[in-house]
Amino acid sequence: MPAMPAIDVVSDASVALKWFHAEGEEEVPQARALIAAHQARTVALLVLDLTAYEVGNALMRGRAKATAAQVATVLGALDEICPAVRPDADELRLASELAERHDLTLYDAAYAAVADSRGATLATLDRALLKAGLGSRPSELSQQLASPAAEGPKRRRPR
Amino acid sequence: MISVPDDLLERIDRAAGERRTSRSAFLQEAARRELGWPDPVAIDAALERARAALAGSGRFESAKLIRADRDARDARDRRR
Repeated sequence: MPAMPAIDVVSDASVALKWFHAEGEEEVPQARALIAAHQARTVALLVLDLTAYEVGNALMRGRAKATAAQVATVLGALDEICPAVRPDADELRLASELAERHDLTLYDAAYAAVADSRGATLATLDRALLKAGLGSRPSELSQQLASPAAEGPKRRRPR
Repeated sequence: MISVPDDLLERIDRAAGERRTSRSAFLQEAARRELGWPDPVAIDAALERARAALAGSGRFESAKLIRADRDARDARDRRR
């Protein structure tokens, strides 16, 4: 049983990729602490359907030059770790509003919209989302999880 | 007792049929994925497989890779 009520955390691809890769990365222990909390059921981790495409594309076309087999293994693991949700119509409407308000791409804003509509915190290391104040760094989240009495991530609310 | 609009029920049945499963099994799977509490042992195994797959893939910062990918995608969209 969880030690405390679960909170929902939406992780974007910039954090999710650190679950699998560490060399040259910042905030790896903090990003991976989210998975440990998910396993302990103190955090309910979610990603978006978009996350798999972002992770896969970054691995294949970025510096990693990953093979199809490597990417398939990573995406299979991502699918096993936490659910991938598809934004619904209301969330896409909110995403478009956030994109307009903060001059973000709709892809970026979709993460923030899903987190907001589900009473979740967005874990990200993306500079645009952080600058817009729409997400928290894993290091901030892990501090808040360690000190739940402090100003922390949103608690799961009834749906 | 739950209530589901007819149009959604139609979509559920269509998707269940495509997957050759029952409506009940489809809804259970959807709930499991939505609520998502995977087995911690399965998570560890998945992590181990993926980390082994990426071992030796070199030094990079994921946030920069993802940002570059998002910016490139956005630039392509703006040119359309």
